[in-house]
Amino acid sequence: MGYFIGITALFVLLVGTLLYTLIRKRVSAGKFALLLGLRLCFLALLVWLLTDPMITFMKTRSKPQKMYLLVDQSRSMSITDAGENNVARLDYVQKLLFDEASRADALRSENLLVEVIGIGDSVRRNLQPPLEPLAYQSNILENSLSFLDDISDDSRASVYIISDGCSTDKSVDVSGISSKLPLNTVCVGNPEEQVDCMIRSVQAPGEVDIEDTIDFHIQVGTQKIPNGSKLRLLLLDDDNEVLQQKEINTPLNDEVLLSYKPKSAGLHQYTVTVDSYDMDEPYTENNSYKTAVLVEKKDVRIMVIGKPSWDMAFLLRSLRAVRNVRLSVYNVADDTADTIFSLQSLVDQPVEEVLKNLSEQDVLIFCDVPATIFATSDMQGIEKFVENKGGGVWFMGGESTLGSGSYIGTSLTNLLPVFLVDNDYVVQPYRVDLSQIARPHPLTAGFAGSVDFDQVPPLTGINIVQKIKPAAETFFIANTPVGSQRFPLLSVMNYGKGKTALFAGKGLYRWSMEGGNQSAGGDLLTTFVRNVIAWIVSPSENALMHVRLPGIKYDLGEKIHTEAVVLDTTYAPASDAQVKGRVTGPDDFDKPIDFVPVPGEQSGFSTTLLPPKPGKYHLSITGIRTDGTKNTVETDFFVIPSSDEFARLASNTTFLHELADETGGEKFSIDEFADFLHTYNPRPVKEKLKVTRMVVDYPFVLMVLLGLIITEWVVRIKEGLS
Amino acid sequence: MRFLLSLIMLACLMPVSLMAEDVTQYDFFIARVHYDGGGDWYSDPTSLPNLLSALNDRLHMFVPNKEAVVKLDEEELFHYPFIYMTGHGNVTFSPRQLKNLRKYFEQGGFLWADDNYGMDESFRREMEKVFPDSKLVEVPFSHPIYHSHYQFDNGLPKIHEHDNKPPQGFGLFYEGRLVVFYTYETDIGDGLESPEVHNDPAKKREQALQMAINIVLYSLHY
Repeated sequence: MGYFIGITALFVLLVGTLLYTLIRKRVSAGKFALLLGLRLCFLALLVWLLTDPMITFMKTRSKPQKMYLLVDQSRSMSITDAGENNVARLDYVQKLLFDEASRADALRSENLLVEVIGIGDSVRRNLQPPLEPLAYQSNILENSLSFLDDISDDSRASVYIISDGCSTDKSVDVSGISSKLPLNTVCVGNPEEQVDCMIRSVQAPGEVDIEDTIDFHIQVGTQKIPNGSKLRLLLLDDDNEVLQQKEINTPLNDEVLLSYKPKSAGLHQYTVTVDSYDMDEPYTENNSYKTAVLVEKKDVRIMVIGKPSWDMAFLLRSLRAVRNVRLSVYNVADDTADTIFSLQSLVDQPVEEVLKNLSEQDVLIFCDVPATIFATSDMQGIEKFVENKGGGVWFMGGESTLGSGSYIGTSLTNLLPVFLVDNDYVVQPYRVDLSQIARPHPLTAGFAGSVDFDQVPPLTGINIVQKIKPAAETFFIANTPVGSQRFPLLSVMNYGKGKTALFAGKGLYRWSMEGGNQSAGGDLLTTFVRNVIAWIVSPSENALMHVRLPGIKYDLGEKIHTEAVVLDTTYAPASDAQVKGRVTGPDDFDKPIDFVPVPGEQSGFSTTLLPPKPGKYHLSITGIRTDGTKNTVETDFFVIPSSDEFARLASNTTFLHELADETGGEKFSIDEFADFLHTYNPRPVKEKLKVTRMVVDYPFVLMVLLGLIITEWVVRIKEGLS
Repeated sequence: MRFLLSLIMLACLMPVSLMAEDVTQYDFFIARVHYDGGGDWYSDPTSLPNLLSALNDRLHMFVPNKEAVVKLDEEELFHYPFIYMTGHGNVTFSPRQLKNLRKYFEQGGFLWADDNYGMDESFRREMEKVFPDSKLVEVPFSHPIYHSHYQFDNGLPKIHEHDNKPPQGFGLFYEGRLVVFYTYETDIGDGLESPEVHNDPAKKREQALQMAINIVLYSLHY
C-alpha cells in the first residue's frame, strides 16, 4: 500500500510540476503561489487519507447494572417450609421474583437488567414462571461456578444464588473455591426442618435368578419420633401391590431385611416404603425408595402334558438333553377325566390346579392331548398365558388331539397356527421334508442342507392340515408316501406376547430310535426339539439383530450409549440396514430414537439416551433392510432416582454461608433478600469508553478537500485560466 | 410221529408274532426277544398280552393286543423301543447281536429282562459283553421305576419263590439313563400270566401287574 501511495504521489507531483510550469508565465507570482499552495494542500490531504488515518479519544457512558439470580430447581425446593404460610420453597422464590403485586421495584428498574437462571441438572438461561422443581437433585455448586466462568469479565454483573443448600455436591469442600465474581447466597427454607422417618438406603442385588430370593437390606431412619413408636415397612411391586409387610419399632439400630421370591422374569421395579401410620407426617416423599432388580430365568421351565407314548418318551429324553431345561411332566391317563398324573408328586391332580401355576412356566407342551380334559376356564387360562404373559405352547399331533381330539369349537384353536378339520388324524408313513423357505431360520438350524430326509424314518401318522392361518409360517412339511401331496407339519405363529407351534405328526421317536445321529447338531430329534424350544422362548427373533446396552440400572442424568448391529441372512453385517428405535417410560414418556451409523463399522448404529425421569423404561429397536425385513429387539432398563435430599429436610445454611464467604459475597436469608430488593435503588454504571474512528468517516475532512479544490478553480476562472 | 406232535404243541405255546402288522402306530408296544442259547424265550406266553390289555384298560393307552417277536440281529429291532426277555435257560448273543443291541441302547431302546428262574448267570454274562465297562447294579428303592405310577416303597414284589432270596431289581445305566432293568428272584412274568396258568393269588398277580405297568411307564418317561 505504502509503495503504491509513494508512486502515485511522485507521479502526481511530476505531472503537477509540468502543468504548473506551463501556467507560471500567464499569472503573477503571487497568484501562482496561491494556486500551487491550494493544489499541494489538496494533494497532501488526499494522500494522507489514503493511509487510513485514525482518531482515538475517551468517552463516558451510563449503562444498567446486571443482576443474575441463580435459582436452585432441585427436588428439595418442593419442600413446603418457606415463609409464614409454609409454602414450597420454589413457590416462595417465584412469588418474590415474578409476582406482579409484590415484586420489588428494583426488579423493574431500567437501571437493572435481571435474568433468572435455573440451576438444576444443567444451567437454564432466562427462566420464566412457573418455576417447577426437578424430580431429582442438582449440582448447584458445579453449575453455578460454570456460569460464573462465562460472565467473569462483566464488571456490571452481580450474582445471587437462591437455594436451600441441599445439593448433591454439598459434600464438596467449599474452602479454596475461587471465583472472579463474588457469589451472594440467599438461603430459602427452614434450617430446623426435620422428617419423622425415612428410608436411608436399600441394598438389593442387581440381578437374581428366578429361583432365588431377593433380599432387601433396608436402613430406616427416624428423627422426631419418640422411642417405642411403630413403623410399617412395605415392599411393593411394579403395580404397587404389597408384596411384603413388616412392623418395626423405634429406636432402630439394625437394618431391616425384607425378602421376596420373584414370580416372573424381567426387569422389575420394587418400592420400599416406611410410614408412621399412627401419627401425621408432613413429608412423605423421603419415605419411599425405588430400586430395580433384573430377574433372570437361567432355566427354561417346561410343562409337558401328554398321553404316555413313545413320542412323549423320546420328547422328554430330548428335552432333558437340552441345557437349562427344567421339566414338569403330567400323564393323561383318561381322555375324559379332569385329573392328570404328576410324575413329580406321583399323584393325580386336577387339571385346573396344575394350570394355576402356569405363570411359572415358559413353555407348555401338549403331546397328543385331547381338549376334553380341559374346562373352558382352563383353556382361557392357557390362552392368557400365551397372549398376555408371553408363554409358549407347543402342540404335538396324534390320534387323540387337534381335529380328532375335539379341539374344534374351543378357544384352544385360537392358539393353533392352522385351521382344523374334523377327524384329521391319518395313519400313514408320511415322510418329513423342509418347506420351500429360502431364508435360514432358527427352526431349521442343523437341518437345512445337512439332513437327507429320504434317510429319515417316516412318521407313523399325521393330523392333516389343509390351511395355515395368515399370520403363521410353515417350516416342515409332510409328504405322502407317493409324494403327491404335501401338508404343513411344523407351523408356528406369534400370538400376543407369546408364540405357539404345532407339529401335526406322530412318530417322531423314530428319528432317534431308527435314525441315529444325522443332523449337524447331533441327534436329529434333540436338534429339532432344541430348535423349537429355543424359538418359542426367545423374546423376539433377534438372531439377525444384536443390541448392546451397557447395563440395566442407570443414575438419573446418566447418558446411556446404545449400539445396534444388523445382520443379513448369512449372519454377516447387512450393508443396506437402517435402525430405528422407540423408548417409552414413566408418565407416558414415548419418544422415537435416532440411530446414527458408527463410522468404520458396517451396519453398526449407535445412539445416546438421556432419560428425563426416574423409573422403568422400555426400549424397542428395529433393524430394517431394503427388502422390508425387520428384526426387533426389546429390552428394559431402569433409571434410579436419588432420594438423599428428602432425608435431610433442613435447609443447609452453613453450606451457603461458606460459599459466600469463600468468594467474597454477601449472605442473605430469603426474607432479608426480599427486604434488600425492596430497598435497593439501582444506579446506572458510568463507563469510560475509548473510541477510535477513521478520519475519513468525518464529513468535515471531505468538506476541506472540496473547499481547497473549489477555491483553486475560482482563482483559475478569475485569472482566465481553463 | 411224537416229534411231529411235539412240534405242534410247541407251536401252540409260542406267542403269535405281530411282525406282519405295523405296530408303530400304537402309543406303546412290546417285542419279545427271540434269543439263542437254548433257553425258553417263549415262556409265559399270556403275560405280555395281559400286560398290554391292562395298559389299555387302566391307562387308556392305545396298544396292540399282542406282542411282537424280534431277534437281536434284525433291523426290525429298532422299531421296538421296549423289548422283553425271559426264560429258564441259557442265553447267548452272537457278536452281531451284541453290536446291534449296544446300538439299540445307544439310540434309546429299553430292555426288561425277567428271570423266570435259571437265566441269571447267562444273562449277566451276555450283558457284560454288551457293556464291558458297565455292570448291572441294584436299583435303589427310591428310583422312579418303583414309583412311576404305583408305589413300591420296598422294591420289587415277590411273586414266586425260587431260592429263598429277596427279589432284586438290577439296572444297567448308559449315559445316566436306565437302559436295562433286570428283575431277579421275583418272576413277575409268571405273575402276569392268566390266573389258570400258575394259580397265583389275585394279590400276587395284581402286584406283578402293577410293577410291570411301572416298568412300562418308566420307559415312557425317562
